[in-house]
Order: sequence, then C-alpha cells, then structure tokens
Amino acid sequence: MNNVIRVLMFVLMTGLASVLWAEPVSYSVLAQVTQASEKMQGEFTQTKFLAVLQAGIKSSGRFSYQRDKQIVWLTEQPVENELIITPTALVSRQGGDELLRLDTRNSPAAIVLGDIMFSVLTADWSVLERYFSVNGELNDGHWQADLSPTDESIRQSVARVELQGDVLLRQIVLHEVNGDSTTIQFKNLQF
Amino acid sequence: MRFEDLVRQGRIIWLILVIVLVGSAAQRDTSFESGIMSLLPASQQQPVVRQASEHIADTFSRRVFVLVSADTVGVASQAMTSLAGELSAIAGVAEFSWQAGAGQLRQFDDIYFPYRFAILDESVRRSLQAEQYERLEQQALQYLYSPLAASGGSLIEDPFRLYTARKLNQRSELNIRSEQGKLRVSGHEAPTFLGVLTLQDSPFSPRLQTQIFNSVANVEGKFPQEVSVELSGMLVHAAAGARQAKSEIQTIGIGSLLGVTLLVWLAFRRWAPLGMMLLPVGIGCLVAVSVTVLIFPQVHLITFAFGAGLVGVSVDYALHFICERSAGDSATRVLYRLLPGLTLGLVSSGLAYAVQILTPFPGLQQMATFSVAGLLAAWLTVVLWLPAFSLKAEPGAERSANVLGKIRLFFPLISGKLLLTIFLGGVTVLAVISISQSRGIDDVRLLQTSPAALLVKEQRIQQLLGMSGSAQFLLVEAESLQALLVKEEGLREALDALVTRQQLGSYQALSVLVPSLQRQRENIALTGRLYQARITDYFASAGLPPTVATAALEQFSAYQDRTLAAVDWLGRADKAYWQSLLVGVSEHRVVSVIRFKGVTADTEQALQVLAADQENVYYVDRIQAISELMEEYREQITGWLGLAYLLILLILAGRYRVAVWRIITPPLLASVLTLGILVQLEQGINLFHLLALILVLGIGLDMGVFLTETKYSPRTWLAVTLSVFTSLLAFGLLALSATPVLYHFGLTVLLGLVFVWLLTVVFRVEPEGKTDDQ
Repeated sequence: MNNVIRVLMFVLMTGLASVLWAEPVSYSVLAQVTQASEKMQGEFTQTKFLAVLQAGIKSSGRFSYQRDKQIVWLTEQPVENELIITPTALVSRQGGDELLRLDTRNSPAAIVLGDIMFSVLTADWSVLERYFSVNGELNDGHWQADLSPTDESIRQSVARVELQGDVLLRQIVLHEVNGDSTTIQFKNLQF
Repeated sequence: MRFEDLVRQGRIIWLILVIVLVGSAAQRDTSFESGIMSLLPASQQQPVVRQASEHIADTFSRRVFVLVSADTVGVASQAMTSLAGELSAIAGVAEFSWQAGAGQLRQFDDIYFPYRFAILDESVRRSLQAEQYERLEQQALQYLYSPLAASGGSLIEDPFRLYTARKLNQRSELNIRSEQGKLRVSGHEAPTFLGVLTLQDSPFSPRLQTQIFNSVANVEGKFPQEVSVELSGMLVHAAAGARQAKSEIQTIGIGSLLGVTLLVWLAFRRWAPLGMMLLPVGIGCLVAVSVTVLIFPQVHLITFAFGAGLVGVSVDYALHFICERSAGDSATRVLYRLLPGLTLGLVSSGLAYAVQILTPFPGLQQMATFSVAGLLAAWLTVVLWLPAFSLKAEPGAERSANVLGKIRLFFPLISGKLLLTIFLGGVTVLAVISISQSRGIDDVRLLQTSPAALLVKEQRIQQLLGMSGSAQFLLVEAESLQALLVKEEGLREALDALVTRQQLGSYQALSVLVPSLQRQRENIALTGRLYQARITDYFASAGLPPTVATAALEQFSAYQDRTLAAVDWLGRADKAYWQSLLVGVSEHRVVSVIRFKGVTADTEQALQVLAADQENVYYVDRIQAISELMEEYREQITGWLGLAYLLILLILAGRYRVAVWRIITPPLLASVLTLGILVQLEQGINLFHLLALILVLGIGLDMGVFLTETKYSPRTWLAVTLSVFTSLLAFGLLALSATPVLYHFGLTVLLGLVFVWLLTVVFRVEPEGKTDDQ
C-alpha cells in the first residue's frame, strides 16, 4: 500500500510536471514561496500506516501553533488526546490527566522528535536544513519536497519526509525506518 | 682545634652537603600536588571512600569542557572541527571527544530492545506494580495516534510501547544532543557545540595550559566571524591561579623586595649587608625544598607557600651577625659572642615549628619538615659562611642604631607604669572576650583562589550543561556486580521517594542502566500480567483484528526468558555510559557511585541517614570533608601552638629564670591581640590566621632572646627591628593579595609583627650599666 501511494504520487507529480513548467526546489526557494506565520491553526486528518499489520490507523483533530513557543496537537477521533510540543518538552494529556511528560533538553531520543516535529509543522526551513537534504519541484506555486535525513541520529528512526504545499504546508508524509508511515493532511488553515 | 678552624672546616663540609642535597633532590621525580584531599590524614577515611574520592577527583581534575559558540550553526560546527584538530595534536591531551558517537542511539536499540520486557522505565514499572493498566493502555494509544515517529519495534513486538517509554525517558548526563555528528548544547541561544577534553598531564602543567589556550586563540582568530570558545575545568582555575600569582609576584613581590632593600640600605648605607642577609634565607629555602622532596614522595604546594614564610624568620640570624660585625670586631669574635643567642633562637623557633611533625596531618608534617630544615640550613649558613665575608666597620649601622635608640625612648616602659599596665590588661581582656565569642571559619571558599568572575562563568557553564555535582555522592560497595545492583535498587526506593517529594532533582545509578537479574525477572512477570489482562481489549480498541493480539502474545513468550547480565552489558555498552558510575571492580569487590543533581541541605541529612543505616554504603560530601579537614587542622594547630609556647617557656626558663616573661609575653600577647582584632574584622578565625601566628611566635622569640642575651644593646635593637620590618614587608604585604589564603596569612603577620615589636619595646629593660656594645 505504501508503494502504491508512492507510485500514485509519482505519477501525479510527473503528470503535473509535464503540463506545467517546473522548478527544482531548494530551501531558499521554499522559504520564498511559503508563508512563515507566527501563529496558525487548523484541522488535520492523520493516517498511520503500520507496516507489520499492513493496516492504517486513522485519527483526526485540530492543531495550533505559535512559532518557537508551542504546538498543540489535539486528537479528537477516535480517542481524545492532547499533545503539546515545546522546544524543551513533550507533554501528552488526556482529560486533564498528564499521561506523559518528557524533558527534551537531556533526552537524546525525545529531542530529535520534538525538534523535527516542530520544524516540519511550522515549516522552519532553516532547522530542517540542518537535518535533511532536500529534493523536489515547484510548479505554479505548488511545491513538493522530499527530505532525506543527513543526520545520523535522525536516520535511526526517520527514513524520509515528504512535504507538499503552496503558500502553506498542506500535507506531510513521514516514513519511518521500520516501514511505518504517517500521512497528515491539513484543512481549514487559519492564521 | 681552635674555634676559627672549626668554622673554616665546617664551611667546606656545609658547602658539600648543600650541593649533595640539592643535587640528589634534583634527581628526584617528585610530583607536586595542590589537591586538598591529599592533606587528609590517611587513617581518617575509609579506604574505599578515599580511593573512590581520589578516583573521582582525579577524573574530574583532568577533564575540561570546551564550548564553541558562533552566530550560526555552520560556523560553530566548523570551528569545533578545527579546534578538535588543534587539541588532538597536543601531547599532554589524552583524548578530545567532540563527535556524537555515530550510533549511540542505535547502540541503545541494539542493547536494550531485546530486553524490552526485562528492563523497564521506572514510571512504567510503577504503573505495572499498581496495576494501572488503563493508564498504560492510554499511553500506548497516545503513541499510536501521535504524529511523532516513535521508533522502537512494531506494534506486535511492543504493543504497549514499553520500550519507547524507556528510550524517550533515557537521560543523557549533560544537556546535549547530536547534531551534524557533533554534540550540540541544547537550551543555549547561540549555536554551541561541546567537546570534552581529557588531559594526560596534570592540569597544573603550565606548558599544557599554554598549548591549550593557544589552540583556542588560534581557532577564535581563524574565523572571520565571531567565534567564542569557553573552557571549564580545573585547568582554567589552575591557569587563573598561576596568572594571579604571577601578577602578584610582580606587584606585591617587587614592592616588598624594594621595601626590604630600601630599609636595609637606609640602615647600613651599603649593599653588602643585603646580600649577606638574603644568602642564608636563600640557602635555607633551597635546602628546605631539597630535604622535603627527598623525604616525601609528593610535595604539597601549600608546604612551599607557608614553609618559605616560616624560613623567613632566619633573616634574624644574618641581621644580628651584620649588626655586630659593623662595629668592626673580627668575624670569629662576633660569632663566638653571638653563638649562644643564635643557637637559642634556632632551638626555640625550630621547636615551635617542629611540634607540627607530631600531628597526624601530612600537610603539617611536611610544613614542619620544610621549615625546620630551612631554619637549620640558614643558621648553618650564617654561622659558617657569613664570617667569610669581609665587612668593614660601618658607621652607618652605628648611626642607625643610635637613631633607633632615641626613638625607642619615646615609648614608655611597662615596669612601674600602673596606667599602662591597666590599659594593656584591659585590651587583653577585650581581645580574649572577642576570641571567646568567635567561631572557627572552615569554609571551603577560603581555599578558592580563582577570581569571582571565573567562578560565575564556571557556574553558568555547569548550569548550561546540566552537570551533576561531583561533590556529593553515595558510594555503594558489594562483593559482586549482582549484589551491588540489588543493593542499589534497595537504596533507590528511598531516593525515588526524595525525588517525588522534590527534595532531590534526580540521580544517576548503574542499576538504572542495567537492573539486577532479580529485578529483570520481576519486570517480565509484571509485563506478563499486563499482556494477559489487556492485550485483546487493547487491539480491539485500536480497531485491529484479534490475530494481532495472538501474534503479540507469541512475541512476548519468545522473549520472556531474556535477561541481560550486567557483565555482558558492561562489555557491550559504550564505556561513557558507565565509567563515571562504576569506580572500582576487582574480583571480590565492586564499588559504584550514585550521583545527584539538585541536593538541598535537608536532602543531605536524609542521604546521610540512608547511608548510615546500611552496611557498605557511604555518603560522601567532599566539600563537607574539606571543611571538616580545615576545622581539624585549625583545632590541631591551636593545640600545638599552645604546646609550643609551653615547651619554649620551659626551655628558656632554664636560662633566664624569672626574666623569661619578658621574652614570652610579647609574642603571646601580640597573638591574642591580633586574634581579637581578626575576629572583629573577619567574623572568625581560620586556619591561615593560625599558621601566621607561628611566624609571629618565631620572630617574637628571637627578638626576646637576642635582646636579653645582649642586655638590650642598641645594635641588637637595630637587628631585631630590621628583622621585624623586613618580615613585615616580605609577608605582611601579602595582606594586599587577592588570593584568600595569602590575604589571611598576610594580614595576621602584619598585625602580629607590629604588636610584637611594640610590646617588646614596652616590655624592655633600659640598660643601667654596660651593654655588650660598650
């Protein structure tokens, strides 16, 4: 199924590319095209594809972020759960009960997660540039970027990240090393 | 044999002896120490505590944290690479680690993932014990639905994400993360990379210091952009101390040298006496160093600092000789006349110093050896060598002696002056009251020699890196590794309680990294119960088919016998994980350290109680130990100083009978008055005040003995006055030093010597008949 998505995306991309004039993507191009807003909120749908089960787990909810401060990731379906990511901590809450709190300052595993999530969601290209090399295309304001980790510690868990968007980020596909992948689509973005 | 021949022969023998002593000492490969712990009496510490403390202190002192910052990550990273190249090339550097171990996280997976049911995160274990399965399930679902890529096995291998919880909760010792293959300091605004330098040579090696600082300057200068390199560690303090000492030698040292020179020239109007004065002190110090180096395998730097001060008393001997000689008498006759006084001076001062040899403190023993050897050598030099100098009759000295004699007459005599006696008595009572209300100050900060700005910077770096203190720790000793882990796990229950109550920030222990086998089997059993109770429901609530639950259960049974033996773990895990925790491993003895972050005063007591309750568990607080050590030294010196006065009183009473009070009272009273003032000025008395009082005693005794011997002749007055004021210039000026130790010593000498001189003047007898010089 994973492969199917990739093939589909490839076909879609090449199809579009043949119709329109395409420009290769670099971080500076992305920074120009996308709008970096201080605050943003919207809705998301997420599909986590679990390779070993060959099954997808769907969830949806709302999110909001304040650049450099925090991201609130509120899953509403199928269970209610709130994940708060700040530059120094990961906190997960459920019905006012704190399920998990990670101080990411001295947790080598958690910090990479937090940092990457933060920069991907807020399209902070300067941070992403430190961890990933980029490949992709820009087509009439729509872009697609394929990020490959250059950092050894990220390569442990993340195989590849695909991003798509226009002025704003519209979709993230995160491919994990174990074959799992997470697809996140954004709707009703407001800032 | 005539006296003159005896001196002449002795002269050559002494020369040979000096050469032999200095020569053989030069052959010795003595190490010089500055660590305060080495001054601790051997018997006082448990050997295991001592060894561990030394191990930790040594590791700590040889480590330098290097922080490279720049405005951009790229520049900071390049600068670190460049600095690493420079530092690794230095011979005195054992290692510079600055690269994030490429696979440290992967190594973590490789080592721990197969044991995911046996080695659990502490929070997970507690939930399992309390059967909070609901909570664990919610946590697992949260991982499942969260956008985070939480690595660590599939949903079948670890459905409840037990391993993920452990991996995410693992703490690095410092606030660092891997970035661009380097160690990036997290939570610092400017991009900063960390490197850890391990020194091969002593951090006190000036050459090594220069090489490292040069490398830093090179790298800082090489980049057109702003690059800043900060160092933290003993090396930095050692270098700052050396710099401060150097600058103080250039200011205070030159100041006092000029002062002494001017004083001697004013008194004698010639240069020869200055040389004759400095020669015995110089030879004295040289021989003292040689003898100390020959006797002790390790010589403490404090020995030199204070030993040299005490040997300074010997300037007296030369001055008496010079003053007597200036009257034009033959060298031999002068010497013959002076010999009883000189010898008595040597014996009394020597005795005052020598009593310290009897103390159990290696530091005091060394200092006593140093000063006694130095005094003896200076005395021999005066007696044997100074007669060889030709010295013409000097009217200058005679004039100075007369001027001094007139000045002296301005001061009242105590004999027969009731008002003065009452005044002195009153002042003494006040001083005694002041002393009796004082407390000893044994603060470790007395020993700090670094400027405040450096200490602040150091603290900032430690905070930034989130370093745990190396000063306090629990030491755990057991017969085997497994026994040790079991013991640690027992202790950790109390520690966890402290952490929960927020009395303790956190702790690091070996048993957190690799639990005992017993604990691992417990964990597997706990996990098994979770699986039985929830696995089917869990997968159902995630909308997954029951076949998945079966597969997960199969996985669990396949792994439920897998435990990780600590020995295997030690072999496989990166040494960096455990070398700071496991401090000693031998066949029948294993010693580990539990380290802390955020220890409060209340916690200290709880930790002490915890250690006291258990066998082979010790609470070590190095700062406390140093303070206790200084307290012990202070008390010992007070006692021995009293004993020295008593001994000297007995010896001198044999010769001077009742008149002995005139000799003993000035230094004794001067010491009491000085202490009385110091208590008011410095809120208490410390070790270094007392060390200075030994010098006051030595000089005061010499004054009294010589004046009594020559029946208060003007020439002796000149000699003793010069002696007091040269010592004052040499050591009293240390009161201007920024180094606390030297400041306290200097201030005491300054006050003490002024009082000794004034009191000796007041307690004098005015010669009625002939004195020795008429």
